[in-house]
Amino acid sequence: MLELQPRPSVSSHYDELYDAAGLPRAHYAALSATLSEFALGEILGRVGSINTTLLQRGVTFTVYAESSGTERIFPFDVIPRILTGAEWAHIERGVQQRVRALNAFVYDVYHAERILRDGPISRELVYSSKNYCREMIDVDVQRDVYIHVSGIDLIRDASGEFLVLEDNCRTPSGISYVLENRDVLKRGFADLFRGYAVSPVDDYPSRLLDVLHFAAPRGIMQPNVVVLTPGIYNSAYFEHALLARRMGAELVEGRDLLVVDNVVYLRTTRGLARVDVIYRRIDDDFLDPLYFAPNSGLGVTGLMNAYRAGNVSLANAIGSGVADDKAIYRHVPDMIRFYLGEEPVLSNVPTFDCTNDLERRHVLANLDKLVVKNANASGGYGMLMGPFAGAAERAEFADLIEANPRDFIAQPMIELSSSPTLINGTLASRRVDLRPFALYGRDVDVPPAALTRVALKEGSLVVNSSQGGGCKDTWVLGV
Amino acid sequence: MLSRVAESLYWLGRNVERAETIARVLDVNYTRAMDLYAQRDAERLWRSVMHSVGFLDEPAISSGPGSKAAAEAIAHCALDPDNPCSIVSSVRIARSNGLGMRAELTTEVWQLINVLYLYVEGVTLRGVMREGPSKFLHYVRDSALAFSGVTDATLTHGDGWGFLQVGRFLERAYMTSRFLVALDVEHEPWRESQRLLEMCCADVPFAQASRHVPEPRDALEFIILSADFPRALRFCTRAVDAAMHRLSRTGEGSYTNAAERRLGRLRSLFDFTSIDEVLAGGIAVFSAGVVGEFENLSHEVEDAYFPRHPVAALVT
Amino acid sequence: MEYTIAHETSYVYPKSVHESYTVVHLQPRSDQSQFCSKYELRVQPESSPLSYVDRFGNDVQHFAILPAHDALSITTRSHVVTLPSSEPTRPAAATRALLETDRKVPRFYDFLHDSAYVRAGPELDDFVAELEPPGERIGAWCLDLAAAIHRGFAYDRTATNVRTAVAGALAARAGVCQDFAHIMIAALRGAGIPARYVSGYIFGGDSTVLGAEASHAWCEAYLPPYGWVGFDPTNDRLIDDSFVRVAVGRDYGDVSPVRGIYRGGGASEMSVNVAMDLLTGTQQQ
Repeated sequence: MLELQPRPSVSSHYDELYDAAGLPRAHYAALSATLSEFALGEILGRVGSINTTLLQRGVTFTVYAESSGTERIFPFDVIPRILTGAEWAHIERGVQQRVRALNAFVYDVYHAERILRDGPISRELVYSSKNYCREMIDVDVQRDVYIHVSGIDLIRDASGEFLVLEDNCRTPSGISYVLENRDVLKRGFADLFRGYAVSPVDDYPSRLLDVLHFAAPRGIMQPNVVVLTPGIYNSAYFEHALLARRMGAELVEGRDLLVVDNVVYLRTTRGLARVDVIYRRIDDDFLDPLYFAPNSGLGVTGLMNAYRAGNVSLANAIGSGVADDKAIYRHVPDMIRFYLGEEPVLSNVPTFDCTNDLERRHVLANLDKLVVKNANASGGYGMLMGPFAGAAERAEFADLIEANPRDFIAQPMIELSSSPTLINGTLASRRVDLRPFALYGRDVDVPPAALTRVALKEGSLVVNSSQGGGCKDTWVLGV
Repeated sequence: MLSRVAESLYWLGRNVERAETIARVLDVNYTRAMDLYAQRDAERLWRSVMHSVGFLDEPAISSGPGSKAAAEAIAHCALDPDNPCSIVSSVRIARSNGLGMRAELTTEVWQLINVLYLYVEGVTLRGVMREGPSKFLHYVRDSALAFSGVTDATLTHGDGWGFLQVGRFLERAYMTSRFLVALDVEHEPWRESQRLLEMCCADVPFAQASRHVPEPRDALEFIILSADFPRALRFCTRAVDAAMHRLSRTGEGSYTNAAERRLGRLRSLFDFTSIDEVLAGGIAVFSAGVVGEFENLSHEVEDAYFPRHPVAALVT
Repeated sequence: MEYTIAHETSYVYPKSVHESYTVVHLQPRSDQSQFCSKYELRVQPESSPLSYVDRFGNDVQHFAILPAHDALSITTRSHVVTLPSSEPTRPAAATRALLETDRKVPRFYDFLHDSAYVRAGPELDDFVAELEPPGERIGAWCLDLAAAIHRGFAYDRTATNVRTAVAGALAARAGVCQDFAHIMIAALRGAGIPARYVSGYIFGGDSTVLGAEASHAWCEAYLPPYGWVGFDPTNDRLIDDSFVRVAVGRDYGDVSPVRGIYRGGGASEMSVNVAMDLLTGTQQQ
């Protein structure tokens, strides 16, 4: 039988499992009951075989810092994270609203610049963003949709309220873990699902394909969709292959494509075959050596010309990254008010702008209490966790901030909510976040397929896979 | 289909076949070497193995009492990552090809390759020799055989499968022809022809096919000219030819590229030559010629379907 | 004035190349100061160029040659009328106060900040320190700046190459028109004056002007109440009707006459030839 660690009497954070009285919340009751029937040996045996399955299937990511070819499975915790129908409805509404506003913002900064002229965001902030792509100025994209796929990272503060920690509007990854985790959990732990009506996740690829079809150049009835990957050494290659396979799309590398007269083609054994939509998992900079990084062998020469001419659609659109610059993040609530005339459903985490003298001084004086993030990095790289950092590391960040204030933002340390997690044969409390994915076609679709990442180290608040994080299956309950 | 994927399938077929062949050859010879009383004979045996499946023209094998020739051959032919034709390298290349077209493969095919890769990456020479190399070699051989079954049973038999077939049978023919070159039939006709049969897992099929006490000459005929035995040169050549014509949508007997032309010539060689004609000039001369034919053939297949530009660097 | 311009650029490759993609900024602009009445682009090996207008309003062409080839030649023939102006405007009335209240300036962020070829640095500061500070009369300062570059730098083709940013030319105190334009732009941006790069042609006629035998380059400063005013620091002249503007951008990188990507071996050998002729009255028919 599994021992549940007792709930600490005083807690500074929100506990997903226990309520304030120390009793399991209603939606965790059935799970707790099922778990209490398990013998520890039984559960560990099943966990072992799930891990073997994941490794054999190649559900792995590449660790960049280590020697080449190091593939690891993303540690998978078999205890699911459960969201009620009501919680999910709230998240869904908030994410839809946010992505609509972010998309309107991207369209605007490459066209009329309304928000820069009349609104709350300065030109300086946008023009100085590393992800602002000047080649996209005055370029029209199909149906004005830029952010076809996004991942909005949410955390829960001490009161249990969902807050947005960051937006990922370029090539967010993680959906493959959602799909695989559900599949192996259903096969390995069917009994856990007893008493639950869990929303299925496996139609995500077909919902994505719908969005990609909708994004096709107008007038094309049966668009040829491909998935563009940097190749087998990319950390998310498994995901690229999985999505291509499940959508029935060709998985291609840049060298498989050729642009002729502003039309993109596949190089096949029977000559050239036209491509209409590219779900690209390559960063803007590497897409076309003619217009971006000239030495990139990953991209497709002439792609930008074909794109500008409207002969091929890219998802996400080039230049979408301007919306997920962490210095611009702070203004997303303003975007929601400006473009939609609504109040934000999901709040932001308070954020300090290091280009503002007053705020920068505050940040520098309080580095031991704050989290500092690089405005353009992701994956938990280039980050300072003030309260856990040494003096030398803080001094190093102070210098970096002074030298390039535009590259950094700071936020107060937010306690993440905790969820029961299997650690060394006991159920321990570990911190989690949540990444729902949004698909933008006719409107914003938020499939009930979200990724829960968990910080496996005790007390840690960092959930990134590169920094000792794992993941959980996330159950969205039917209403 | 994508040219890159076609090429990956071709190399996948070749490398899995190569891993299987090397595993079988090492296993057969390891078992035979245990029966040999003379140290000299064992050394000669391993030198021949190093030549045929180790791709070494002048293999260095330790000699004399306490010779570790077997371990040396297994280290080189099976486990040396620096030997691009070892089992480990072949499996790595196969896996990397499979990974690069992960979206085209069925889960069954992919998982088989990946599990084989994980297994091969996990072994050491010491571990392999301690428990006897058979366990390792059988695992590789059986996985590779299972690969043929799984690909046949789960992949669509279209162009992609065609490229896989071309790679598989071309490699098989090539390796069989390499055995013939390294054979010493002049000095030890009986023993060497029996070894050849076993390396081609043809001992039982051959015994069943021959109605009288088999002569070495009959064994060579079986391995070179049988139209029904799946490792015979004639059988493999026909299989490559058929797959190539399905790919080019042309009838057998005509040609649209240099590879098909060479295949036509090779087919008629195997179809219309008698074993006495083969042996007239000496088996060594014949088989060296055939090895060269298959090497040229593989260049021509690559030129026909996977055109490569000498330098692909981007210049601004 | 009315000109015909023939501009030929050829490349010879040591080993054959393939899949070459080229983007050209060679079409003279049509705007308030000039009108391009004819423009022809020919490419050998043959290819059919496609066209678009970039964010600076330049007409850009691009083309691809996929089969293997050993040489590439790009030839344009243009016919341009530049508006007569006997005396170019001396931007004396431009002041800092007008600039600071101009409503267009916030849009010129890119023309006020560093770009790939235009970077602030200590070498630039040293050079600018040799001049009087700009103060209120920024128009006059621009003229001084152009004169100082003309005076202080040697015209030397060997001092720099097309990839040189301002620091190289400043260190050598030498360069070509591209370098002088970049230095002037860097100094203008450093002084808070929006500045952009112009590529084009200068008509030499019988006089000895620098930059007439190939593409020329100069810069424009945004000086209210005049708007964009052109300065040629190479010849210490204001822009008049003997200049033909082809393209404007942040720096050379945005408007390089020919740039491309190809697959194949080795660096190419390039040659450029520009012939610019003044049409007389009878030819204007």
